[in-house]
Order: sequence, then C-alpha cells, then structure tokens
Amino acid sequence: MSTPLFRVENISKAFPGVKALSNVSFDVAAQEVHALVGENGAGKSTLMKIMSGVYQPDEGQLFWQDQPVILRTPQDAQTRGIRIIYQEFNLLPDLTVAENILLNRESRNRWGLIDWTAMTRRAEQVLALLKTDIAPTLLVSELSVAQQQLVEIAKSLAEDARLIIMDEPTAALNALEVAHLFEVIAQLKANGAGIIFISHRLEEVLQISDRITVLKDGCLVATHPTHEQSKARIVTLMVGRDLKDIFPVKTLPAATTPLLDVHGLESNVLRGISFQVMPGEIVGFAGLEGQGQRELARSLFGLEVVRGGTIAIDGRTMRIGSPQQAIRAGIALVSDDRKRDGLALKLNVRENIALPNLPMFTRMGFVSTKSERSSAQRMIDALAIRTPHMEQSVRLLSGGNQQKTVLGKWMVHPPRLMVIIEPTRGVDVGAKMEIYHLIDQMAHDGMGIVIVSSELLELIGMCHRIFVMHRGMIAAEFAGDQATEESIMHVATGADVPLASV
Amino acid sequence: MSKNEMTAPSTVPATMPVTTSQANARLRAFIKRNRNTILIWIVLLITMIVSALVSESFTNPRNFPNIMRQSAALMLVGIGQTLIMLTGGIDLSVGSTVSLTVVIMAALMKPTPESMIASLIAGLFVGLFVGFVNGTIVNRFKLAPFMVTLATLSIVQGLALQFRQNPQATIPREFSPFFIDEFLGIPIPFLIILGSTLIAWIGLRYTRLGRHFYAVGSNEMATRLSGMSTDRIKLLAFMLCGLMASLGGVFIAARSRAGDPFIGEGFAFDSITVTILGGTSLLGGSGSVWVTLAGVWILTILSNVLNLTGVPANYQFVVKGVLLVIAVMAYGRRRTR
Repeated sequence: MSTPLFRVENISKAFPGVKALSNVSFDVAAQEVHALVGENGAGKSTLMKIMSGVYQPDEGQLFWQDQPVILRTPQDAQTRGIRIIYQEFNLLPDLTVAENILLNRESRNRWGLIDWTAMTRRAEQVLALLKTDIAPTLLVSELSVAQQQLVEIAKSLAEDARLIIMDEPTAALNALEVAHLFEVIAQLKANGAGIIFISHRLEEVLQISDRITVLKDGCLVATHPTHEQSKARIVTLMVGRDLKDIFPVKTLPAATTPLLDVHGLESNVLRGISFQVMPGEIVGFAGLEGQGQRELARSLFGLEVVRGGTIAIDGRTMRIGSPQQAIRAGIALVSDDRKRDGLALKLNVRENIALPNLPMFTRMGFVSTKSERSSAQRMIDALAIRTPHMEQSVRLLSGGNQQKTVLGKWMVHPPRLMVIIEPTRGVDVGAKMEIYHLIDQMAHDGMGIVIVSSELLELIGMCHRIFVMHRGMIAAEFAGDQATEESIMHVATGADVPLASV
Repeated sequence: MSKNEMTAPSTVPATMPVTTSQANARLRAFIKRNRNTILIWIVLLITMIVSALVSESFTNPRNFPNIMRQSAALMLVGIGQTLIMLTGGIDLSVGSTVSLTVVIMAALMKPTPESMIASLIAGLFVGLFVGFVNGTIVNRFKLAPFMVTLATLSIVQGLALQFRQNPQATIPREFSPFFIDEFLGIPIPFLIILGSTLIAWIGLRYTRLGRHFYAVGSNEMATRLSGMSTDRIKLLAFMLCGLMASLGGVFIAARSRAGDPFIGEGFAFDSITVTILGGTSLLGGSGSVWVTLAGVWILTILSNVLNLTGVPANYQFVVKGVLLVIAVMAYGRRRTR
C-alpha cells in the first residue's frame, strides 16, 4: 500500500454521556476503496464527521498526505478535496441538477453573470462520466432517490474530490442501480480517488472494497484486506453472532382461506394487480424502483387513488380510501421513511406508541396515562426496544429501535394485515435479526404480512412467496425457497423469460 | 481524476438538431416549471377584464398612470419581501422602514439638488441599516426572522415617531417629478416597476448571490455543508430587503410629499400578501419576482376598482384577506402532495 491519502491516529471523541470513539486509527489510500462496517452506534458516523471537519476530535491527530492537519469546518475538508456524501442527501430540492452539481462553482460569463448554457454543459459532462442521462435542467425534487445519489456523486466529481466518503450509498438503491454505482466507484478509483465506503450490506462491502475496517462500540476491532474476509467472519466481528441465525426458520401457514384478496387493482401506476395473502403468510414484493411496489403497498393503506379493483379482508370487500378506513379494516402500514411517515420525531417513545391507539386510551375525552404507559411498557418489553426510559425522544434512538417503535405503535392492537415497506432500511445487523424475528412471530400469530423491499436477500430469507413487479404489473411469482437474486433480477429488469424456465 | 478528463467534450454527444418533439417537450417542461407564473398572470388578466366590465372609469386612459403610481412602492417593497422569503425568512419591519425613510427624508430635504440627493441617500441607508440589524440578530442569536423583525417593526416605528418634525415636514415639490411624471410619454412609475423587476429577476437568476438565496431557502444545512456562509447570504438578503423597503419609501415620499410617520403602515401585510399571492413559498426555495409583480397588480387593481365603484375602504381589507386565504389554499394544496 502506498502512502495513505488520509490517516487518523488514536482518535477519541466523547459526547455528553457517550464515548463515541476511543483510540481509533484508520487510513485510506489513493486508488483504494476502504469499507467501514459496524452496527449502528459503533462510531462510524462520528469518525466520518471528524474526517470531514464537522466534529473536532477530543484526542488524536489527522494526517492529510502524511502532513498533520486540523479540519475546523467542512470547508476546510472540502478545500483539500475531502467530500462526504451523507445517507440523507444534502441536495437543494428546488434547484436544478446543474446548480446542485456546481453549487458555489457556478459558471459565469465575463460580466460575472451566471452562464446557464455553460452550467448545463459542464453538468452534462460530469453526468456523462457517470453514464447517466439525467437532464441537468431538471429540478432535484423531480428525481428518484437513485438519481439523486448520482447527482451527489457528480457533485463530488465536479469538485475534483480526492477522497469521497460514502455513507450508506446503496441504502436506497436497487440491485441494478447498485451495480451501476459500483462501476462508478471503480472508475473513481481508477482515476486516483480514495473512497471510504460505509454500508450495512456486507455482500456489497465484500464485492467493492479493498480493505475492511470493523468498528464496535466506538473501538477499532480490526482492519483486514477484503480478500481474507468472508461475510460470516465480518458479522462475527461486528456482532459476535452467526450469519445463518439472521433469518428465522420459515414455517408454512396451515390456513387455506385467504386473509387478503386483492383483485384487479388499477391506479395511475398499477395495472391489474391480483394476489392473495393467507393468515400467517409472509408475501414479498420485489422489483426495480418505481415499478409500482410502493404504490401497491400504499394503496392497501388508502394512500393512493385507486381507479378499479377490489380489496377484500376475510372475504369481505372493503372500501379503503383513507388510512382511517384501512386501520378500521385491520390493515397497518410501516413506511420506508419512518422519519417522515412513521414517527412523530418531537414526541417520545410512549407518545409515539400511543398515537394510533389514543381512542382506546381515552375516557370521556381524557387520555388515560396509565393505560398509555402500560401498553408502551408492554411494547418496549415485547419488541426489546432499547431506550433508557419510555419518555426518551424517539429522535435519539438508533434506526433499529426507531423501527421497532413504529412496529410497536401497531402491535398494541395487532392488525390483521401488516404492510411493511423496507422493514430494515438503515438498520444494523443485530437489529435486523430482531426485526425479522418479530415479523416472523407476527405471522406465526396468524397475521398476514406484505413486505416491499429492495433487499432481495431479505425477501428470499423472509417470504413464503415473492412477487416481482415490472411496470405496474406482477411479472412473476416465486416460492420463497426457490427464488434467487439472479432469478428475481432477471424478471425485474424486464428480461423476457417465460415463467416456466425459472 | 484530472481536470482534463472532467471536461473532455468527447463524453457528450455533439449538439443534435432540435426536432419538433424536442421543442414540444421543452415547451411542456417550461409550462410545467412556470405553472405558477402563468397561472397568476392569467388571474391578473381576468382581474383586468372583470374590472373593465364593472367600471367604465377603469379603462379611462388616465387610470393607467394612476394604477402605476399606486403600485410602484408596493412592488419595490414586494421585491424585497420576495428576496427574503426565498431564503425562507420573512420581514415584518418593512412597513416601519418605509415610514422612517419618509420621515428622515422629509426632515432633511431642502429644495436644492444637492440636498435632494443627500436626503435620498440618507433614506436608503435607513433600510440598509434596519436590514443589517435584522440579519445580524437573526444570525448571531439563531432567532426566527418572524420574531426579530416583529421586534424591529416596533423599534423602527418608534424611531419614525421620534424623528417626526413638528409641524410635520414636507418633501419639496421639486423632488416629485422624477418619480411620478412621464418619460417619453411613459409613466415613470411604470418604468420603475419594470426596471426594478427586471433587475431583481436578473439578480436572482444570473448572479451567484441570487442563486444562493434559493439554495438557502431550499435546504440551509446542505448549503452550509457545501461550503457556503449561509449567515452572509441571509444578512445580504435582509439588507437588500431593507434597501428595497427604503426605495419604496423614497417613492412614497415623492408621491405623498408628507413626512407622515405612519405612512408605511400596511406595507408588511401587503408585501407578504403579494408575495404569497404569486406562490412564493413561505418555506423558501421557490418563487420569483414576476409572480410578485402580478400579485402587486392584482391587489392594486382590486383596490382601484373597489374605489372606482364606491365600495367603502373598510371592505378592501376584507377583500385582501379573502384573497390571501384563497392563495394559500391554492398553493398549500399543491405543496402537501
């Protein structure tokens, strides 16, 4: 390995009540992809924020190309060519793609006025390097998540970044987009950039990285060349548990009368969707982004305008035009954007769990704090939500515990059917396992489960049946134990393969 | 990666001839992007047609310069309000800034060219200073612009009363023609309106600072993390807003020629109304001065016609309020999509 591009030595950082990092050393070389893995709360984000000038370390020293540096502000880091792409993108939704890419480096003509033609051209050139045809004149708010990701990367390209830190870059991407992103990363690497790749998806880490560093509880566990590692070994380093325990053992439901019967569902996006879910069955929906899976899930909860078709619960056709009607019909939705749809971030754990259940806690217009507290405690215990106390603000919980709180909201009075979009997005391995087992338990208790996920392994590991969607239609159905990532992707990408051959 | 590779033209296809379908697509994109602007100008057109139908005096040629005189100050203040609202802020102190500007100019101005220019500059400094104070407090103490400018509204109003002359000072007659007469047969207020709108539009669209107003309003944290000083951008927005309020004051001074310390009352409400009327988001990030202009004219024409048809002035406030609710409903609906 050549001299490191960026090296940190013996970094420690404490926040009130938490030791976020202790004595961590880490380095990344030019033309290297260095993966950083660890459970949530292991200290990855803190380390990255120190490396990009957002936080100052309490102890330790940073070296940029072997010279000691102090990064006081994000600007300090940027002028050296350090660029961080946060999981929650830092784009300006109301501005164009070109403006976002060239923010603060806008093209100007000789009168100092912005030259929009030149801006568009420069942005086009950068985007072309990423082999994408996103129009620079579009507003960022008009783009898909995957496209926004590419704009973020284009932004760092335009800044001639020497070191690009990617925080969960694939969290919102489907398999095809991930493959594309990896091509881009390979190209960046070939051009001499160093890349720090943070991800929960270990398959991807193994595929793309040159070295892997594992953090646990703010301490460095190990740094190894990737080729010496296996997924099982990394997981063991991260959580001390074996990989095969991640997914629960599937138990097939005995019931034969469907709990949910969807017939010929039509909307702007959906075209003639029909399927059934048995009590105790876990049904998965796979597909590329924007093929209608999300809309389908949202339709079941009354959030989309449905033009035709029927939804029946326990054989009774229901009108589901609003979340209220969906809840009354016994349907619950856990959205993929828990911060926007799932949680009231300013409220605490107890209040969030109580939220959909308030009518049950209310006597003569007053909320009974007693029943509110007891059911909150029941959920905290049952779902193992790790929170110091039920009055803790949900904002301060880890992703996994936030997700469990969302599940807890609905489990106070368990619904007949639980629809979950991206059940484990932004959640660490340990919490994933717990969530999978919770979902399995729910199904075991006779609930029907619909999962929409872009993580194929998750669907394959969890579901009894998997539907693959393409252009608003169900393109294929797989039995859970027969599906493979390849076979699903084949259908999802629209490759014309008769069902019989899969 | 080297700079050369970044700019290698070989990576983009050579410019292709624009086909009809592309032109159509571009037109559609233009309409989609500028739906607000197009919509509000149609509303303005309807307002004008209805006005012409209900009042014959509306179409009287003498009414045009009249409407321009009535709308110029509001447009100047409205541009400032639009700038600040693009950054996600709001400025409630513009009304008292107008008043203080007028009072100070009236106190200082003598009927000589030197004195007129000096007083005008002094008047403009009023707004710059109020904006500087607003922006500095907002940045330094991380306070909401709404609260800070509510406080300065009162402070500046107090100063306007303090500097009022007794007996009330007047602006020399010689000052007015530059602002309210005609130039080459065109009413000067109309030229002021068009000129200021054009400059503001160019400033917002073609200067870095202008784009950064949108950036801050769109996502302040992202803007800061992209290496820009959001404090500086916000301070400049407040100062420009103050300056525009003072320019409004200068026009009012020329038109009314009275050092009335309450003359600016109502400008905060009206400027916010016309900005929102055009669909500039209260949350910042999107909007334009063209829609504000349409808003200004809609509001002015409504008052004008209500006056011409003899509707009591009190009802005009009701009409403005109703208009505001309709606008907020129309845009709010879209935003919550």
